[in-house]
Amino acid sequence: MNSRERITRILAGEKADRCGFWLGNPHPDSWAGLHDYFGTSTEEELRLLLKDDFRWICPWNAYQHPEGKPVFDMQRPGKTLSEGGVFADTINIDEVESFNWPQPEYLDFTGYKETLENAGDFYRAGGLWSPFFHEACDIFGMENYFLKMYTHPEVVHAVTQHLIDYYLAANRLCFEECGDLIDGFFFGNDFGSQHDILVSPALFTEFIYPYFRKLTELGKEYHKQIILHSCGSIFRVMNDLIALGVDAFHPLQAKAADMDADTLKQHFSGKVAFIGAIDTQDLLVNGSPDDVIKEVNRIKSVLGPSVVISPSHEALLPDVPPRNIEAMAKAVAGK
Amino acid sequence: MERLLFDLSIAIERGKENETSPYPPDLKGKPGAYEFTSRLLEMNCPPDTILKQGMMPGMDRIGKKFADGIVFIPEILIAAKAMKAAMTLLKPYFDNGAVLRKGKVIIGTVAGDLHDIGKNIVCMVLEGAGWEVFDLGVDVTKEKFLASLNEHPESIICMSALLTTTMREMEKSVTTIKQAFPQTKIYLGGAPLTSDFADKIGADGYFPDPHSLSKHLTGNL
Repeated sequence: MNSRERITRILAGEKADRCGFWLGNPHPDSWAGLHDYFGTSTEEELRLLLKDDFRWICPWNAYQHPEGKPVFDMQRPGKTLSEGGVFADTINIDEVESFNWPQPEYLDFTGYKETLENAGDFYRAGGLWSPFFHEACDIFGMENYFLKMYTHPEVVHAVTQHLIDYYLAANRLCFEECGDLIDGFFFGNDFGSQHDILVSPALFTEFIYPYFRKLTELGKEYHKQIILHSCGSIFRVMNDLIALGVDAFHPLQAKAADMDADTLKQHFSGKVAFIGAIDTQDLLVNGSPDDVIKEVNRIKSVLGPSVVISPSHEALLPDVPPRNIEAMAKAVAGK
Repeated sequence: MERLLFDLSIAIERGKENETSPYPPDLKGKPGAYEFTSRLLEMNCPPDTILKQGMMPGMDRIGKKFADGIVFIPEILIAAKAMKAAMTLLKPYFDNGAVLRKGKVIIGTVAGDLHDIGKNIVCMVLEGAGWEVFDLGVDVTKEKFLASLNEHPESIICMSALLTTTMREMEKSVTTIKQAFPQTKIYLGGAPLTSDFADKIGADGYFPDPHSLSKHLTGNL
C-alpha cells in the first residue's frame, strides 16, 4: 500500500496498513535547523526520510493579475487581526459591490498542474486554501467583522458572498484542470480559540455554514475528500461540519478545550477521520523524544486507524527540537 | 432611579448602544446605554453610582457568560461598544475626580507577537470593571513596558502571548520588570500559557479568561 492509497483509505474510514504521517508545514524559520539535524537539503528529501505520506500542494501563485495586484486588496495598515481593512467602516452594500473583486480569468494552473504531476505516490491535498472566514476578518478587521454580524448583517453577507464566489469559481477551474491529480480538497478557516468557537452556533448558522456548504459541495462534485483545517476548539460545531461534508479534521489542537483524543474518539469515532493531534503547545516543544513516542503510540491506540499523525499546528516553529520530530515520525512507523 | 440603573446594565449586557443602533432587533427604536446614562445624569444620579451600579454590573454579567461559554466574542464586543458609548458621558467626571477608577493596568502583547484579539477583550472587560487601562498594543518590548511603568508606577502589568516562541520573550520582560519594580504585579494570559509557566518565570499569575482576571484584580483591592 503506497502513501496515497493509505491516506485515501484512512480519510474514507477504511482499513489501512498503518496510521498515516504528515510532518506538517514547518515555519520558514524552522527549515535550516531541520536540514542541519537530518542532513537533508530539500523539503522533499526530508519528507522522504521521515516517510511522510501527505503532500499539501496549494496553488499559492496561480493568481497572476497583469498589474501584479493581490487576490484581495485588503488595504490593511498593519498585520494584527483587529486591524481594519477596506470595509472597516462600510455600512452600505453599494460600497461592497463596487470593490475591485478578483477575476478568476487571471488564474493560471499550469505550474500547479506540473507540480501535482510530479508529486509521486503521495496523498495530494490541494485546491485553493479558500479561507473565506479569515478573509472576511481581514477585510473588515476581526472585531468589525464580528460586530457587523449584529449591526450590519447584510454587509457581512454581501462580502462573504463575493469571497465565496471567487473561491467557488477558482476551485472549479482548479479541479477542472487538475482533475484526479488532487485527492483531497484541503481548506482552512480558524474557527476556534483555546477555549471555544469564536462566534456563537447561531452566528455559524447564519454567516458561515451556508458558504461553507458551497465549498464542500463543490469538492464532492469533483469527488474530493474534504479536509478542514481549523485551529482551536471547534468541538461544538464538529457534528454540524461533518453533516456539511467534512471527511477529516486538521490539526486537532490537542490542548484546546474538548479537542483531546479521548473526547474526539468518544464523540466522533467512525464519523470522521483525524489529522494532527500531537501537541505543539507543550509536548513537542518541551517534551523528550520518549515523551513524544509515548504520546504518538497513545494517539494511535485512541484514534487509530482513522488518524494521520501530525503536529497539532502544522507550522512547526523553530522552538520544536528536531529530535522530537524524528521521534514522532519513527513512532508512526512503529519503530 | 434604580430601575434606570438596571435598564442601563441590561442595555450594556445586551449591546444596545443608543436609540438608533439596529441591534438588538427586539429593542429597535428604544433607548440604549447612552440615553439611560444621559437620563440618570439629568436626574442628578452620582456618576460613581452610574458606573458602579449601572455599567459595571452589565459588563460583569456578559463577562461571566463569556467565561462560562454562554456567549462568545461578538457578544462581548457589542457590549463593550455600548459601554464605551455610555462612558463618553462620564468622561468629564473622571477628569475632575468625581469618579475614581479602581486602579491602573498596563497591558500588551509581548515582543514578536501580533495576536491582539484576546488582549483587546481583556482591555474591554477591565475597563468595564472600572480600571484605567493603558493598552500598549502588540509587539511590546520590555523597554516599552518599563517606560509605561515609569510613567504610571502604581500600575498592574498584564501580558499576552499566543506563540510558544514568544512565551520566551515574556520571560525576559517579566525578569526585567521585576528587577526594576519588584512590587509590581504581573499577570499573564494567552493560549499556550499555564499557571506553572507563570510561576516558573516569576509572574504573579495566569488567567485563562478576562472575567477571572478581573475578579482577581478586584478581589485584591
